[in-house]
Amino acid sequence: MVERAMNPRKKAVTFQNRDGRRLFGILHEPSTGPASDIAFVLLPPGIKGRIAPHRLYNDLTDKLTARGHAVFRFDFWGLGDSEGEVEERELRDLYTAVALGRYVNDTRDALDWLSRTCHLRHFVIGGLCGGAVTGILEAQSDPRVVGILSIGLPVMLDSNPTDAWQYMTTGQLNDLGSRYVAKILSPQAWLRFLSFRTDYRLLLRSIRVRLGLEGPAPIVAAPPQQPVLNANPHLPGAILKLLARGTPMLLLFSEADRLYWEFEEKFLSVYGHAFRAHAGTAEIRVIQAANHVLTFKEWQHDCFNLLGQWLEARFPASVPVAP
Amino acid sequence: MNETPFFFGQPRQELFGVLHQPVDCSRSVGVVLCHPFGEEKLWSHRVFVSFARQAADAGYPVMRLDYYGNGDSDGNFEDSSVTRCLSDIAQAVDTLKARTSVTSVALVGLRFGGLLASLCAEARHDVSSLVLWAPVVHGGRFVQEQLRINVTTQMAAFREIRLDREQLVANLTSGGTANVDGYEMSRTMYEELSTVDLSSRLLTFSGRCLVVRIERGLAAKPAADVTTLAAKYPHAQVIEVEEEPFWREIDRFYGNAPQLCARTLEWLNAQ
Repeated sequence: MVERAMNPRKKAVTFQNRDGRRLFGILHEPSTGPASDIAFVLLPPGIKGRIAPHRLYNDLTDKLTARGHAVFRFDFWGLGDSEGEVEERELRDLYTAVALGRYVNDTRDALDWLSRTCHLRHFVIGGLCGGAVTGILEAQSDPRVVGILSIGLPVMLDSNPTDAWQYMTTGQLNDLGSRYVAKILSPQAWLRFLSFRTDYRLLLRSIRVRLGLEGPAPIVAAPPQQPVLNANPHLPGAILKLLARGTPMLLLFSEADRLYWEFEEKFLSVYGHAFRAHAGTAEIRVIQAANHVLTFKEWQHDCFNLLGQWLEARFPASVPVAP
Repeated sequence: MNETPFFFGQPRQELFGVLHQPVDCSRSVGVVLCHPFGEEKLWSHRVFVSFARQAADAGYPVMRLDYYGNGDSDGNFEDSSVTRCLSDIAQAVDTLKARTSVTSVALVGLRFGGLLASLCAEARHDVSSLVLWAPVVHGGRFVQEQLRINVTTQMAAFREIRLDREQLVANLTSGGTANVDGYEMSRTMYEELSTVDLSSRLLTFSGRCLVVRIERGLAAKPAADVTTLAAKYPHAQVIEVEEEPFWREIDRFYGNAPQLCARTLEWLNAQ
């Protein structure tokens, strides 16, 4: 349960983005006014808008306002309550559009609006999944952003799928291999196998990886100048800029999330040198056993604790973080 | 059309709502939308927004609300219960009437929201019509489905079931909560939902009622409980629309449910 002891003030607001669309949001402030000059802007992960799965952003907001920060949550155009209609008909295409920076302008417009109307000047931005990508892409060229909060950052694109069996991470293949083995006595699984509905190449490869007969996919060794197939082309440059600028980043991942495996195998293996060169700027933390959306309470608590520790180290507050 | 997001209700227990007001507001009937349960609310959100805008364009003042412990409203999900949701819908109806010139409302509810709309219509005299989109008829079955979601999540995360449904129920009845897609369901919600069976309940609502079956393919056999439910209302009509189950995670992005919205508006306009 999230404590709401400080009874933060909240206001339902709308503002116009540069294209004239009205965007809807909620502005939260500690009851005694902000004790910190750093405001947080939580960006929608995707279609779940400013709430995020199981109200994750509401709970994050409570933690942050209890620490003295103003928090703004809003919906991008075409999503949540905001005006506009997106043209994508497939979710994966929408996620790809988000990952490629569709909502960077909305984010910048939100920061402009907050600066103009609330006189807020410094921001930590980000969120879960698509919110993390959007935050990083916006922050690379906006000096008002003094920190990045990233939860479950996707480094690959969802659209234009290539053969899954060929480009899956070792983590994914290991996991799949275990699942195939677990189903070895299942009549339904055999029925599926014998009726040609199984992806045989994927099955074979995952079993080989599971048995240790095959190492990581060769794609892992791709040099920086040869980007990984299906990787988000905008993300590495943005992260490298933020590292060079010394912008603190908290990169939280869930241990049982394919996005973590992709980040490790397809991003860190290529760009890890930059993280080492700017040691301390970006902190990578993993929530044990958790899934992508942090379904169970203990995973949410771990997330809040790691965030609290990062904030204490990077942005010491006059108000202690609620336990 | 004007859209106003605002908080209403008791201090520290405020509810979030959006009022969609037509420019030419001459109708005496407004619309209150009742959202579904947990994550279904988020998946279906854009269809609700889209329908609210279409209804407002057709001249109906529309109120969307988040129940206590849901969406942007105050409270935690574990504070949510059937009783509390019904009280929240009643507050939304009163708020809509206070802010506009409407004297009665059509309640439109999806899934769990349909069950709530049906119960709410029993208790109020200002509900003139009822629209139930793929309503949950058996609360008991529905709540067991929610517990199955917990078990499925355990399997996916731990590759084993650490707490089966019986143990989850035991936890609930001893005052704990059960996690459903990240939402902590309380004992009160569990017990109240378990006892609601619209198909065997005495329903006295005598206004117009539209029950909408939402199916991927219309070849599917009508669910008996929906037909039984409709038969309990003297002025009910059952229609079928072909839409994806947009309240769940599906491959498609469902920003609008064109058939569902059009048929519903057509029915509302016919009164």
